[in-house]
Amino acid sequence: MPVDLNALRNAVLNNQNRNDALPSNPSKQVVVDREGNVKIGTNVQPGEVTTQVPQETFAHNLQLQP
Amino acid sequence: MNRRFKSDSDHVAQYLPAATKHQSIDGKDVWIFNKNTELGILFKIAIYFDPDEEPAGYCAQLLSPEIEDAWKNPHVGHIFNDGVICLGGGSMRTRKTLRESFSKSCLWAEGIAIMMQSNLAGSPTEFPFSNNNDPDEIE
Repeated sequence: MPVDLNALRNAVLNNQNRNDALPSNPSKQVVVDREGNVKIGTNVQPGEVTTQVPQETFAHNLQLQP
Repeated sequence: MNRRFKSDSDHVAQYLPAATKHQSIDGKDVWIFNKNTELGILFKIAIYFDPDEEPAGYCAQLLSPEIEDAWKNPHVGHIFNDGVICLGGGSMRTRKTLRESFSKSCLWAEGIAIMMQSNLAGSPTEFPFSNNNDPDEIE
């Protein structure tokens, strides 16, 4: 099932804003399956092999120039 | 066979695409996989452990496609000039595990694919999956 890219963006940004890189709630998790397909945690099938995506901001430590 | 190679091989076999290739380059074990995005843009990404990074860890390097030079910035395309993908966290260039590097690079590919497609359509957009982009540098 294709991932809804808008829902994916909302999930990732919400987690970044909460500083919750590895949420335990599947509805907030973002995972990839073996082929690298990105999914929301609630769309994972029972027994499916996945890896959770750490959702920290991509450039965590750098500060923007004023 | 060293311990890291054995562990990495096991993780690749279990968690990365079945077609992932191994190459030994400059003494490093490099794992190369294809990542197809929702928008149909295909990426080739290499993952390897780099002991010379600070901190040492697993880098994810973009091999293809080419992206705009102006996007090679940790706050624009979230990729460094040398092609290493910015993976966030405390280190940015590395992750502690091969699986973290793999999963984060796949999310990055989905994001940069959106930038590429929107740029081609004449409506450039910022990287969609990070909350600290530099909004003045998307074109």
